[in-house]
Amino acid sequence: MTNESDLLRGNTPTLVLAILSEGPQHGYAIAQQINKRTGDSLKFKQGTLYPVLHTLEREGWVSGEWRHVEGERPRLVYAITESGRAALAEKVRVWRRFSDAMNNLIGGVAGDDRIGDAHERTA
Amino acid sequence: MNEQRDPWLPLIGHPPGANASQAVIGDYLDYLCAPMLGIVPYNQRRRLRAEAEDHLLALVEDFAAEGFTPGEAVTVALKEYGDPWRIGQEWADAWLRGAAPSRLARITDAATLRAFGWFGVFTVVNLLALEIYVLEPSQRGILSLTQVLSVVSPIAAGISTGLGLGSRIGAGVVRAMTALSAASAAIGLLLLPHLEVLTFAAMQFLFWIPAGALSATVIAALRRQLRLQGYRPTTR
Repeated sequence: MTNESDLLRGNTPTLVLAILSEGPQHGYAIAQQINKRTGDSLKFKQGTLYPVLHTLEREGWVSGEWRHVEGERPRLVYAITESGRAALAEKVRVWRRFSDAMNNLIGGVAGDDRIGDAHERTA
Repeated sequence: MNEQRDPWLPLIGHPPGANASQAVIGDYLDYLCAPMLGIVPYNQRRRLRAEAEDHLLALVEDFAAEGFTPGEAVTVALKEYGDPWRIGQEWADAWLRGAAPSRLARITDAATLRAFGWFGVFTVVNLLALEIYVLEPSQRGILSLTQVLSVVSPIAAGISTGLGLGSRIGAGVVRAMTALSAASAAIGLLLLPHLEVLTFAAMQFLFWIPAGALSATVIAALRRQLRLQGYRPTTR
């Protein structure tokens, strides 16, 4: 059975970079954005975001900086770097090529419901 | 809200009260950081812990604003954040992959060092028993003892290794045992007749490594389950 979470796992860095390309965010806001933009269809455990952020930081694609605001908890805010933008562009290009290939490949295949209906008709 | 009714607060032994939620989150963060001990440097762990705490408190606030009771808000927030042990291991793995500080750092992680210690002790004991058998003809009766020892040793060392903290326990055993097998063969060749030493070295390569790695992995998995048992947040 297809599990969207498995599909998400390998693409979390791309999602994070895409969100950060619109402006600096802290981890919690990034997690909320992922949930919001995917319509909660790509459910993921929010704690798994931080190992990804760490990896991106080590790659030099994002940078983290503690921000202290009066009356609020200190927060580590992440911003995308120039090399991060280049990496995002490359990831987007690869993703589009992959999704085009997949669409071409499975475009003519019916989804589960239609396959089920066809099976019932032939039975 | 009566926090005493929360099904899992008593399990972790914190008294009900205004600070109970903080204490529960503190426990969760302890679990989260445990797999990173000996792998991720202290300053980095502190940073992760602070970041995770901030995230959890924000989640709790949001769930409380949605109408959850304080106890429920903490429970749901922890579930939303994920299995602390798994996340800690992912962090440790990400550190090992991303840091890639050196091959030396990889082979000297906590699991490898602990495996090296335990398997090292058992290797020395086995070599001593083998030496007694070879050099003391009057002690030939101990052959069965050396055989039993060489079979039991990797399992005992694996169990001892698996009882400790750290991730990738099995890989640590393989790394430690590879070095120990080579070392014991080299040392043994200098001190003992070749046939016995080569037999022992072959046994270490062919039996000790898989048996030790399997024992350590199974024990580590069981220990993890036991530690998390009674801890996992549950919703009413």
